[in-house]
Amino acid sequence: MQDFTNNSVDLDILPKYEEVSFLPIHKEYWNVMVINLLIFVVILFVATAIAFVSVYQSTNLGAGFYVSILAFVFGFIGLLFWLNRIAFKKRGYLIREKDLLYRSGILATTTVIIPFNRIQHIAVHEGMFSRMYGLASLEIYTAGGNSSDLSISGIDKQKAYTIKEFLMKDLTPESSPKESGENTSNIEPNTSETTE
Amino acid sequence: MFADTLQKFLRASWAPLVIMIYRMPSDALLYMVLGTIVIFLLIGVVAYLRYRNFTFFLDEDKQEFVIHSGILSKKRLSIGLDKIQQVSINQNIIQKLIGVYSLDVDTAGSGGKEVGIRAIDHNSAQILKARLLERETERSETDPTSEVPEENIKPIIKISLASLLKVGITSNYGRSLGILIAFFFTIYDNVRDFVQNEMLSEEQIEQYIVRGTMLGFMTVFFILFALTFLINLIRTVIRYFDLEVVKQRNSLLISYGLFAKKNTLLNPKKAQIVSYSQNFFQQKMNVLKMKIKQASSQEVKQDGKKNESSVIEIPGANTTERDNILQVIYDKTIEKGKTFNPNYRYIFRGIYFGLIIPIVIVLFLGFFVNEEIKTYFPFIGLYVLVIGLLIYFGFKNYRLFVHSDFIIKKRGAWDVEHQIIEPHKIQGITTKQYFWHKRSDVGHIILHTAGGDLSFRFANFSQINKQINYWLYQVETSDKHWM
Repeated sequence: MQDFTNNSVDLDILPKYEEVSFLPIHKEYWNVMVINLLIFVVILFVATAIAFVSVYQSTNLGAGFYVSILAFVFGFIGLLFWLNRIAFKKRGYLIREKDLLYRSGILATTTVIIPFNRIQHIAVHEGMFSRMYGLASLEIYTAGGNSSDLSISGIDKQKAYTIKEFLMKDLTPESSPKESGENTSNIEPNTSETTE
Repeated sequence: MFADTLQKFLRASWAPLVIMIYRMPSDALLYMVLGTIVIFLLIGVVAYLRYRNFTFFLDEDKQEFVIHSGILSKKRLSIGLDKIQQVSINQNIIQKLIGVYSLDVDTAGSGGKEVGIRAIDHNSAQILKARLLERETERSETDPTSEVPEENIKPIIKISLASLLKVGITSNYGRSLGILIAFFFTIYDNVRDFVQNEMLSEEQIEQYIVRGTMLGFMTVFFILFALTFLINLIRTVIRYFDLEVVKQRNSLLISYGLFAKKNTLLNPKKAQIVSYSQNFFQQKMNVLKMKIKQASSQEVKQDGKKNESSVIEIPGANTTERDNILQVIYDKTIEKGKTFNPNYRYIFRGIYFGLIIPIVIVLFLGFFVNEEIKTYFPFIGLYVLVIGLLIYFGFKNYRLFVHSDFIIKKRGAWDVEHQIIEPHKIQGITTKQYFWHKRSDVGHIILHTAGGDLSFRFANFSQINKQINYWLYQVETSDKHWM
């Protein structure tokens, strides 16, 4: 009992989460985002083309109409790219000694903080396009439900697995006594297999 | 078991059956009857087989509760005792008639698996329940001094009919009013259509409405109001009749219900968010509504019925009873501590969505779409007054109290609600700041718990960040488990 102290904690000397510098996600992930965007753009173009054809058959509108529509579509695509670029630049993560931070957002800066001792299980997800660039996304689940589950895309595959292993190690002593009341048996390292 | 199978069958097939009967030519009725008998026999056989194949036992070594079921495809379900959230013993009307109970085992697992035993006699149910939750209590009773033999049998709360009536009267009128208004307008429209179909002129309609029907409407309105009121009241009373909270070792046993008796055991450690709400009238009568949210996963929430079991409601408690329950759950007295106020921008948001947008829409409709709406314009003043007051009180009541052991959020304009969580039950924290709020140092935070989220908007960002760092410190250094 001699070791026990319970001094008041000075709020100002606690580590400040808001002043950390985040690690950016992998540069190549921008390519993945562009691919995803391009797919969307192709779908958009096909839809516009179909609309064009059907409109052309029924009515006869001037060339100015089509030009303006086309300009609008291109403007929209440009906007999408711009927003995605902002989103890409804003994304960042950081692993501290005892918790994990993830920052994202376009208009709003959203920061999610998950303490290690609240993580339920972790998965590494390799998407089709991400795999082409050797990237993966790290998925972290808590008992807080969907709202606090985290998915960090665009991490180097090797790094993602290293982080996973690191977090697992941290996780196991906490939850290995089975009475800790964990929800699922997902703590076993082999249950969080890679998907796709 | 038979009744249960029959019920299951009927539930799945009553609609086609009704249609079949309806469409059947009369000479085929004989076949119908025969068919019904065959179906009943089949159900009987299936029920018997289901009964024969349904077994459950407690595996002492593995600490598992195992249930075997199924006729053709056998199913073996085992639940680790440590994963059991809650065991409840219920009885519906049919079960009451034959004197059996059903026992439901809830787990918090993300798969949302839930086990139930349909028919079990009361004694075995109690024993099983005790055994299933044994480990729970063993674990929590590490302190040998607390091994006091069960002397706490007297209920800590017993909700009387009077306080239940009080709550019933003073709550839910918002919803009742909504239903009523919808109803009122439907009738109004119907009458108008009817009158128009009778080829009367606009003037006559107006006269009708103004003279005769106005009075009639008022009466109908009043009667309907009284009726919904009464229905709500009866519902509350039937549902929560004779509500009792008993302390059983370290858990709370909550039982209620007039026709279908419900028994729910709550382990205080598994309570995630405890909230109580009270409006002006309820405050005067010293009654309030309590809600205890337990750990539940998203999948469980999607199913309305299961969701109910993870939220326990206690309507009609008074302040001392509330304090007693809180005392049992937290083992401490609730303290409010430091207060966080929202930024005045919180009001802007209310004004924007509650006043400006609706009024602009109504004005637009009145001027450009339908001239008739103009006659309702004088009501805008009243609307502004009511909503303005709601926004003002909503702002005044929107507070976050932070103590080292508790986080309390207060909110609501009319029904003032307090939500209480403990810092070590936080699963994660999200902060959100729009770029146009950066300069004014305003931001939103969301505290995630296993029983739902608690958000506080328009907080002073640098202050709340300091608090977040402290919460993280608490969560990361505390060895208290969140459930």
